[in-house]
Amino acid sequence: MRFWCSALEVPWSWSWRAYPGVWAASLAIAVPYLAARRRARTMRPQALDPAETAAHRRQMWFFLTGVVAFWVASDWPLGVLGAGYLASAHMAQFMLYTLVAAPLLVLGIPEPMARRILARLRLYRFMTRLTKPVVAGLVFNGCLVATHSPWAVDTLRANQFGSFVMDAVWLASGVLVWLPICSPLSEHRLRAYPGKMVYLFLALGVVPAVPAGFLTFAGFPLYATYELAPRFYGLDAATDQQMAGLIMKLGGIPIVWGTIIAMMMRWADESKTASPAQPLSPR
Amino acid sequence: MQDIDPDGPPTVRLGIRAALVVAAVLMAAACGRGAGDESRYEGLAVPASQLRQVPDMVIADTDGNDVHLAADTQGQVRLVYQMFTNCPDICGVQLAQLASVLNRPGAPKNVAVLAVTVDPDRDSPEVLRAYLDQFSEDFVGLIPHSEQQLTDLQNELGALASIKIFDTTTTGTHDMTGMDHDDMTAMGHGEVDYDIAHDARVFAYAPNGYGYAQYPHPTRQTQFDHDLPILAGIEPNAPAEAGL
Repeated sequence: MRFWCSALEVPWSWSWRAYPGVWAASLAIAVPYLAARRRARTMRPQALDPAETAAHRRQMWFFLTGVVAFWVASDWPLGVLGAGYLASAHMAQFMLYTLVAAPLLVLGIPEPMARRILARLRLYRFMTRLTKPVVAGLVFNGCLVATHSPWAVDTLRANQFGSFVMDAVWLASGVLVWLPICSPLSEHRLRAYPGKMVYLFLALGVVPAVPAGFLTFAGFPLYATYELAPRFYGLDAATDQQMAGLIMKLGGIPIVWGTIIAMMMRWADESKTASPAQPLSPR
Repeated sequence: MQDIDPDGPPTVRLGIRAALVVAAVLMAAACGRGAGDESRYEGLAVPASQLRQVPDMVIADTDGNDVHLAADTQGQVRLVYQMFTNCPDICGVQLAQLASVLNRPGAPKNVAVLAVTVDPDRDSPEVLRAYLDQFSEDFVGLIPHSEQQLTDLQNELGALASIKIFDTTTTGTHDMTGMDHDDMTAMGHGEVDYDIAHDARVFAYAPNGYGYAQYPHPTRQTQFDHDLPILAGIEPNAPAEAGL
């Protein structure tokens, strides 16, 4: 029985494998969240109005979908393929962690819960510094570059603990990079839409293109883990690595640019509401 | 080729495989130069005292033609690799690596990959050809006509003997030493399942016929890419010292 997905060095098989560590981690995220929500509901003195109830329910679904994305990225088969067989699966995992699971988890946390957690862990001041856009962007991209270096991949993916650390760093840095956009605490969010859009483009659109370029255009497989792994349906290591580069370069486009377009539309709507068009008056 | 019937197949099988890989690496390291020595090869360099020449043998290829390993590939770099088509792991990886390196622009053209099956019972010419074609149609598939010829080749290469490991869960008996695939089938064991532990080194011979370098698993593509032009640049009539 293995705790977390790591490189196996045996031929790939579609036989299911159990990774209880992944289940435990998924439950460790979901159960305290649901318990806190339940406690908050029972302590609430009066019933919420229908709009608030719908918003709370939506938040819960965001969070639980984020947990499911985390589980899909970490567990068999994607977790096993990414840990020891395919660089492209490794990259798909990274995208799921940072562009799907992380923002959904952030969107799912209600403001009172976030304040309570930060107060209890005495992390408010630390998080206030960390969620400054420049800091968040640099930390995320530093983690991205470091965890995609051949040394890190070949060292960490070789054992379960290292593989767990890599996944945890991805999720944590993913959560961090989304906080200036959609933190439950308004003071941790960027206020102006242009700032949010520029931040999103720079933090999630520009820097990832550099390692993606290396992967796509490298002359040789960069990672020993995937070059020397038993082949997956005959897919050669160079093609697999090019696919990984393309996933990194193109995979984020729908989410990053979709979010930017949504922000532009919301900005336009809010501008219209703030300054309704004046009817032309005859001179 | 020796036959082994392990009791408790998965563990013993893994143990034998691991032991063979470790033995091959140790043997290759023993053949290689000392840690402080400079080597022009990124693979394991063979010291002058242990240089061997391309085996002077004739083995049939997948078209049924006899291939004289030394004479028919004269002037070329010869990469001799022992493999079998049912190999679950290393063989496919190394053949894919060689195909990738040799397909790169600028890769030396005078390189022949000689893939010798260690499982002639199951690797018919058609099966071996189809397997190799997944990697490169230029790879030469060779099928020893007997166990003795395979053993002779392994001795000439300086390779470890391959070991047949029978899966007792399908054979249902523990006394199969010396039997081959046909014997087992004739005894009513049906389709016999076995694995083969083999020396996974790529033995590289320069155009002058001397084997200057070896590449055990794991070897990176960059190492092959570094060494092949050096080997290919050695003249066919160069003395043995030319490649050291």
